[in-house]
Amino acid sequence: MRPSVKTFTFLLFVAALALFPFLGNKFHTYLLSECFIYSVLAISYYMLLGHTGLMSFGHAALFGVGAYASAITLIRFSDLPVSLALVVGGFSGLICGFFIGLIVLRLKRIYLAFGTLALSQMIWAVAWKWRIVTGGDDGMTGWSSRQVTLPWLGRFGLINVTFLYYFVLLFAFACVFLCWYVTRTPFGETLSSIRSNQNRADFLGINVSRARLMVFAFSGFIAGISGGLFILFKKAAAPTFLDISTSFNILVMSVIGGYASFVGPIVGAFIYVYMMEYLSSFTERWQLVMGAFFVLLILFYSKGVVGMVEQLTTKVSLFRGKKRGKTTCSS
Amino acid sequence: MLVLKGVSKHFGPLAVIQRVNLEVTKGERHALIGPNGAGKSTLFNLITGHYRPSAGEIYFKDRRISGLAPHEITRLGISRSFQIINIFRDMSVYQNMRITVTARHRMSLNFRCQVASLGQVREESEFVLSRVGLLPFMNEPAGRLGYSQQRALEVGLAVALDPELLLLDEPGAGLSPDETRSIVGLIKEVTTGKTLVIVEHDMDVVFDLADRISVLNYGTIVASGSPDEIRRNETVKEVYLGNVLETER
Amino acid sequence: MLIFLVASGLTLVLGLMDILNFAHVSVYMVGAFICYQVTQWTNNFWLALIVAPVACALLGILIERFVIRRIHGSGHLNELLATFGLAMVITEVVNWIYGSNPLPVRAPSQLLGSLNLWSDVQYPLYRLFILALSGMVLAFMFYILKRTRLGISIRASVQDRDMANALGTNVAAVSMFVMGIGAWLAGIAGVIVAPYLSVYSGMYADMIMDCFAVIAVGGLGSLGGAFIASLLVGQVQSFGVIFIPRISLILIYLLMVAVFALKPSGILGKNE
Repeated sequence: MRPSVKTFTFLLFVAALALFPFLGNKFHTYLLSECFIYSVLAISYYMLLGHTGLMSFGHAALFGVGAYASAITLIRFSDLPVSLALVVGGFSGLICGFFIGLIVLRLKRIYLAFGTLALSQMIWAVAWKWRIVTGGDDGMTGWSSRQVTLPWLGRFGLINVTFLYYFVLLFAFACVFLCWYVTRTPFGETLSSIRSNQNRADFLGINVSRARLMVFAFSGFIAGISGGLFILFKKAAAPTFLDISTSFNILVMSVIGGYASFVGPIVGAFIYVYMMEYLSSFTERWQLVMGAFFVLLILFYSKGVVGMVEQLTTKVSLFRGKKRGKTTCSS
Repeated sequence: MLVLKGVSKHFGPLAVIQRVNLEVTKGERHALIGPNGAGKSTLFNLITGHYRPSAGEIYFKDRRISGLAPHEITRLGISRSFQIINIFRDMSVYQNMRITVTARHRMSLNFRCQVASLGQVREESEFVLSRVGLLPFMNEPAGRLGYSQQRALEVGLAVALDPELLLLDEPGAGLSPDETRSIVGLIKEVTTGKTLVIVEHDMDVVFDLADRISVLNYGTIVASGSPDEIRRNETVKEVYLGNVLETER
Repeated sequence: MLIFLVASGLTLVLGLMDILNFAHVSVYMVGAFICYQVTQWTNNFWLALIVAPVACALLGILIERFVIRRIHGSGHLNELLATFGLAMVITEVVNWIYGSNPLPVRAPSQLLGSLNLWSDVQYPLYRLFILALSGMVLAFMFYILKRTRLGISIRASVQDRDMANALGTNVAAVSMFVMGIGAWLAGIAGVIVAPYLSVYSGMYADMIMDCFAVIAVGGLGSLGGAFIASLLVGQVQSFGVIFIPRISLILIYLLMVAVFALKPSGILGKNE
């Protein structure tokens, strides 16, 4: 009974998303596209933190490397199709994730947070200084006039908000689905076991090092794709994609939604984008407000929206049980 | 099957294990006893690769395993349970078992298929769970089980790896006499045909289960032999201040 | 040496409470900004040198009281997130009040100019001042830690918190004190660096990298290790800057990577 309610709501949600551009206005279509891109980023982070328990504080590096790799492909190899640039972004993220994972292989917890933050700072510094390749402080632009050719449907410009919406939605769906699929594979369960009790996983004969490397690489791949989507969306790349505050924003998204569940970070991404939009119309200092909100959340209620919903549904079902006169044990 | 030659382990200036020689033959049920702090768990940690020996060698089926990583040693056919319960608390009982069985099938890093579709893994998991009496609880989070059930799961996970050598570290720790009896029965059942090394404090369990006993004190083996020999051994009696052994039979 | 002033507080708190206080480096930055503000108002650097560290110490104690104590024990992730979030918030506040451009602070006239050391070697007076002051502060710390009862309590608590508690040391009070002193030192570092590098909101990011390097190389929780590592990192930096400026940053990272790979807990760190 339960599964089909879930499936039904899910399908409804999908249908709503698919029809939205024809129902809503351009502004919200644009905003939703941004939500999709951040969802992909957030879910890539979930694979590391929520699912495997790896406290990486330098996720911006994977996102930024993907963004820049895509940007460079679009500019330097402009005869290659846009989708390929995305794929290049993904694989760059994968390689970057692999190497970061390799360096921090033996680190745990605090040391891991430390190490990943340090490495991402280093990559940020490289992006900043390597002007010839990345344009340094100025960043990169120049592909807003690009077009994408779809079989049977014709050519669409990246400027076209509606087209971009569907383009991003498609990739976002694919990425989220891929992550979801992986969490349900033996590998995905192994990752959960590492989060739950890395020591015991080791004693079961599981090659924990290899699993960690694999998830870093995979997470990097997805983050890289989100980076590529982002630059297509914003039509620019800048070193800020790689800095501490970006890693911090990824954390904020994850925590607001609930970092321990699959759906949480996606919910968090949506909330983050909308908060960002509405807060910035009130004050220039919206990042400060978000940051303060984040700290308060951590101090007082760190389970996020999903956690809240879970607690509520548990209370509701307990309440319902009582109403029908059932007790939890004997009956 | 398992041979320890001159194994020592120092932690800085502290010598926890000193020149231990031990031989366990195939199919044997070997108990390791000794006062608290004698180094029994450390010895297990040495065998399973959690620690490296400071000196000496450990051989399993004539192959040197001292210095290998824990997961490599596990793959060679050695499995252990833990004195302090070391299960995957926030995962369900069934998942605990499934992870273990998947590991046994060397499929832990497979990302092509869905784990729910692995029929054989499912069957095996349910089978082992039923053997340890935990099948009715399969969907409970493992951390919510009662203590004796968690102990049963500990043993179950170790057994599910289908090892040739099974190391059980105080499987009865903290159990009431009834619960202990039942877990001993469980151990006997699931370890038929396997080589077993068990660390225990409970002498009832030891004399019930063991073919041979080794006594560890201050990091060295002070006596080793059949249960009868050990019962009569003067040094052993001294080690235990004579009390425990005299209360038996 | 500057790095050591900041990193020491960080590593002590790490050893004491197993919490990596990202906000500690923010205190350093706040110290620099307070110095700027005080010199703007009074044009007196020495006054800033006294006021700012004290203000920072207070800030450190406040952080300990309201954030660290609250979050202690709720899991490594939450602890890290809380201090990291706090650091980001402080950076944003500083950005808000002062903007992101570097603000200059003038060194007092007594410290301008260079000293003729021997033959042709000129050494800037201000750099000498930094060395001398850091040296004095270090000697003072060393004295407190090694020769006083308070120092013993601190060292005991860092080594084994529960045991120290059991033996009667008020570990909570010690923690607060350590945070206060650490913050005070960070404040001093902030004031000292202000005329040298000027004051800007990116100070946080720069210093945190150096602290990382020092703590990663020297070992988390080890004061001695942090000391050695500060010397090491300082040397690598100056060496790199002289010969191959672009690479100096990379050299430090390579050093860190090497340490991560070979001895993850750092040169003198506790073996986890």
